[in-house]
Amino acid sequence: MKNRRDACERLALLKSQYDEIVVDASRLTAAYLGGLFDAEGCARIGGHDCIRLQITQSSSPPLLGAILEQWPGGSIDNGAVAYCGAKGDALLADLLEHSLGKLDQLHILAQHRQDQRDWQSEHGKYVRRGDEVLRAWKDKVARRKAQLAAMKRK
Amino acid sequence: MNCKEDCIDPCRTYTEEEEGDVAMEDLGPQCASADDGLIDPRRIYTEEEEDEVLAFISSEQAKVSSTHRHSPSTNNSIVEWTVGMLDGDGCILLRNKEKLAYVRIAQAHSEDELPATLQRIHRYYGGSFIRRPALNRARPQWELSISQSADNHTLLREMADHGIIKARWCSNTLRMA
Repeated sequence: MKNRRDACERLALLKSQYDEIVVDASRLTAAYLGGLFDAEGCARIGGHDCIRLQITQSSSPPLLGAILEQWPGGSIDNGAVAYCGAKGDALLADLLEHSLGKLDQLHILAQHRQDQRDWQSEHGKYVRRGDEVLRAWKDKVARRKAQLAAMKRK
Repeated sequence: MNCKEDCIDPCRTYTEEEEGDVAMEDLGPQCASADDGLIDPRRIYTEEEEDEVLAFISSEQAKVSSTHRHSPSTNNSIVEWTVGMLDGDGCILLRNKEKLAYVRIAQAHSEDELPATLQRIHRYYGGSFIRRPALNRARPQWELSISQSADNHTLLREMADHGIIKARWCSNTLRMA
């Protein structure tokens, strides 16, 4: 029994060393990230109506670095890796394929990205001018934010 | 009824015509045709019929497998998804008095039915659920607990083989089991 107690202590020590892990890039697959996102991820529509995908793992910075290397375009801040707007498109596509728990939220973000792309293909990079156009767009964004908030409360 | 007329004599040599009659007659009522939904193992099927037979076999296999727990090893992306989920929210517990390890995962969920994520893990690895009531302002939680012993440590093995954050932890736990 003493050996078992020693082993427990050894395992507890290992638990405090998550920040020292060496990431095997071959294990960092889209399916793995889908699972990690279901556990620690966050999907929202942020400032400037940009989509924002975030995975928090403050205890393991090497993993965040490896994610950024495999899915470039994001940034690491406060123990989380985050992707905004078009920079998160590749990650969003992979997550849509593999996520389960947050799939409904990801679909909202995918619709939002599609609307943004449609606007750009019709009007270029011009901002939405005109009261009616602007109001319709703001209503749409507000509706989506409310949908996301309701999904998160479930 | 003359029995000799109805029975087939295995020692007798039949003509080609008689052979055809025998082939049809000797099957007996217990060997129903494929039209009745049963397969006669003694009958030789044409290529078209063979497809029907194969479809029948695969449908029967599907019925059998649906009554058993799914095997995660057949679908690698399910294994990787599960390991990713457990690397994020999972917890491995060792009991001093029992030679068991538990893999636990909890999900906040306000609704009465189980969260889809835990349902998927349960479908592949089993385990038992506990519902923890809401405390203070937190939402109620569903907790899935999967015991891992020396006889069955599939999940720990897969976490050690496919995981990133808790892989080393799982390898050490397996060494103790």
